[in-house]
Amino acid sequence: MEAAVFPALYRAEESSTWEAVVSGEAGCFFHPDRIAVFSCDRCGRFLCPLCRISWAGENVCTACLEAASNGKQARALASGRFHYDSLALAIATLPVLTWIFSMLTAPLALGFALFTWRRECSIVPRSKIRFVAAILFSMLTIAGWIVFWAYLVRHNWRTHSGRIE
Amino acid sequence: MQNRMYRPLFETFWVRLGNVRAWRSADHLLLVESRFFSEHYTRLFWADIQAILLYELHTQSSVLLALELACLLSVLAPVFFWQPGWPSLAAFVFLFSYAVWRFGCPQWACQLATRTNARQFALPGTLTSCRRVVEELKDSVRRAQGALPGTQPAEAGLNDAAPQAAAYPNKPLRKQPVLVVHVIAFVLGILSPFNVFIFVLYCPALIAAWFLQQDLKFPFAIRSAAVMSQMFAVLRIGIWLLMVTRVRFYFAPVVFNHWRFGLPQIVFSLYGIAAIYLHSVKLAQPSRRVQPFWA
Repeated sequence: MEAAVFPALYRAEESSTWEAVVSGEAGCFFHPDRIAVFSCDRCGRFLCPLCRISWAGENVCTACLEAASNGKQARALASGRFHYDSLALAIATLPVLTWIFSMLTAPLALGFALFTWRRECSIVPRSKIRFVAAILFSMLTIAGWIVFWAYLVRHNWRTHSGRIE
Repeated sequence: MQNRMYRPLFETFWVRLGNVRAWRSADHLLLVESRFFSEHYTRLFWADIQAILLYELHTQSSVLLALELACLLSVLAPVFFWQPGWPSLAAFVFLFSYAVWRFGCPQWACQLATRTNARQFALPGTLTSCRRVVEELKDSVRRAQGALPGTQPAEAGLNDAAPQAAAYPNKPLRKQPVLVVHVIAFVLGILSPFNVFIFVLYCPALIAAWFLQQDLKFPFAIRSAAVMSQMFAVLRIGIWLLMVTRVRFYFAPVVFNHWRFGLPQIVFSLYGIAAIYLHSVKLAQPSRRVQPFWA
């Protein structure tokens, strides 16, 4: 094993200590009895070490962090994304193992892929290849079923016509 | 913020390094953990990283290799001795797939520790290439934090306990019952073609093993056995598919007479293979020996 340590290891745990406010000094916006040692870089509220959140190089309060999570910076705070493209591909391909269910799932997969095409599946670069594969595969399955039913109807129609004659 | 703000920490074209991928940006490292149809993010800001550890995964120890060889022989011997011919071809496919998996395994891993978090991810390639990646990480952290209080890292009073304390802020690791479940699943997987009741037990054991092996502390030794079990399932799928065709009489020694379980077996096996493929490279516990970069 090889290891390297950095100054953050020796940094004092600022949030673990706090002092009571005395007259003439600013108190924390959320804890008025505690002395403020930071201010929010966004709204300017005074913050004690407990309320200060270090995020993306800024000192922010919980309210601003929540506002950021609902606004344009939601992506920077995103904790996860759903893979609509993988699900569409799974719906398109897996039921083929059972054949009969693919008659229902192929249109479903096609519709799902088209409906969720513009949805963001990841905040990191991700190609649309799964969506394309799902659409192509489901279209092939649908085409296969159409051919199958056409053959079946035609065959039955011929049989039925022959009996009548 | 555009997608372009993230670029991969390393490029892997043909090796799948578990279910955690690392992406770097200007101010943080993004770890993307894939689970089923979703992915979850962990951001480690350069300014918060306390320690970086590079350690070996011990996937090629002599004990492990001997164990895997024994498992291989136990799978292949019946095929070769009982019925040469088509089964031998299937056995070679199994051997090839095992070799691909074995030589594609990552040998090194990296652990990043902050005050509240410690995350691991596998690194591709040789020690040299892994060190190159770690050096890039170190440079990014140093740009954000500066140098240690001393002029040289060795003068800062670093000892072996410091990185370990940073890497393991929580309580020590403990043994998990998952080991027993995996051993049971593996043995059942090996024996299941010969008895339908064993196969019935094998399916739930496979599912239980898959869910339990999500534990990060799961050692690599038993996991490799689980991988072999999944590969064996692939072999059985192939045999089953061939038996459906007219060449089934060539496979008489590898008896597969429980037809009604054919479809569940395919589904379970494919499920297990995908799961083991995506989740089998989680990292083993780092060894206790610590040697700083500069030593």
